[in-house]
Amino acid sequence: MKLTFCFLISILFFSCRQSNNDHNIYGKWSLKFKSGPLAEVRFRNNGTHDYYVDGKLFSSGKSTFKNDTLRSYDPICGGNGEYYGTYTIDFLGGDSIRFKAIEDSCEPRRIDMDGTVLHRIKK
Amino acid sequence: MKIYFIVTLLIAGVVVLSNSFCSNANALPKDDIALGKQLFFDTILSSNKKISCASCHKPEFAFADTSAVSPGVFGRMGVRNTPSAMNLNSAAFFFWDGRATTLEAQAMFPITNPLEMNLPIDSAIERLTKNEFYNTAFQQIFGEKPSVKTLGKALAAFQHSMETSDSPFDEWKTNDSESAVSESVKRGFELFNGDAKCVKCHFGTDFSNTEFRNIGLFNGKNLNDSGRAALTKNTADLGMFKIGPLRNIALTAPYMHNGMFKTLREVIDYYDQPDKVVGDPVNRDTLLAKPLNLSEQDKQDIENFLRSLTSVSLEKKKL
Repeated sequence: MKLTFCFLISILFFSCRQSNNDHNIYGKWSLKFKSGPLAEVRFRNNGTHDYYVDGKLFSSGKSTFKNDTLRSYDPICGGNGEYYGTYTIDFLGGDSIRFKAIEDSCEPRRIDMDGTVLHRIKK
Repeated sequence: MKIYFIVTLLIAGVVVLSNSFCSNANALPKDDIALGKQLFFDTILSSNKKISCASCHKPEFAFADTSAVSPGVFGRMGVRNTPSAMNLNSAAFFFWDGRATTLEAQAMFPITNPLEMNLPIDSAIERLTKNEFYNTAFQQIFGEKPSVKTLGKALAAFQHSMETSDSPFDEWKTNDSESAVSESVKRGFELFNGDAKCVKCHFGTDFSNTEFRNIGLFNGKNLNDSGRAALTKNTADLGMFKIGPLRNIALTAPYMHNGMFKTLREVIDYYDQPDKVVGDPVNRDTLLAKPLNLSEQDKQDIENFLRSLTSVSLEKKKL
């Protein structure tokens, strides 16, 4: 009985751990913006992210990811202010995520990102 | 005496024939990029056949020039600093005032500008058509004789090919090599994106932008180039100039539309305390309203970051 209980707890622990791993955005992702170019985004576990277009860095920002919610700061939006955005991340199977805008002070970014699907770039 | 005359004549004949043979043997360019490159370096497109695009856009300086303004035909001096002809694929406008919106259109302006190459475009096309080499090359590559359209296409194709992405910065950021740049460069990039506000204008793949800004180098007096306003006739555009790309910027001194800053450090000092250099700017962007108050270390870090944007292959060619 005790052994069975331990076994069940172990399964529960590992399945929870697996689930947490699934909901991890750190790493490299590819995306196709509605407005055109094929891009890459890298979320780093030091709280920074970088966007690349055509193999060149396009912009760098900061972000936090918690409870499937991404809070992002990017310094550019065509004006002189600071631009924060909050997005829900839907995990679509193992290798894809979709951004759903909650709020974003940068309208062009919201237009680009809302509904956009990213695909994990495998090593 | 007679024998010497005959020998000399024979030698001269051989030289002339071999020259002729060699020039005929010049291989035709294989594509539009190669044709554009050949045209870019050829003086055929200037009225006195002494100036080519490359006379001002010098390859060893990232296709920019080292003087504040460049001399054109007959030593006539231009009015604005020669920008780099590289890394323009993301540009929406060309020239400091944005008068052209495509590289194809841009290519025609220096040819016809009286201060630069001074050749009416019809004359340029006529020269190319009468030139057996170019006439054949254009027909082979574009399926038609030289024309304004195909000349623009060829020169633009060459310029489109001049993208660089092999700088130490790229190695750090794109290839994830932390050791590719110094800690100073990393701090400089942080400042660039943050307190120094550079990123507000210089962003994107080439650290440029599609906008025009007035950074305070117009006062209507000693600094009287009104920039984009001269083109648009809109007073809101007074003193506005295109935001230039920063890739290879360490190779393209002097800086700004008038080449008034000789070094990157002078540029950084200006942005730090613009009022110290121009006390009476007209229509200056609000981004420059307050001094940045950068420390000496900050300035050095930003300069090092800018230097890290230099293409390794270009640097090697320069050496």
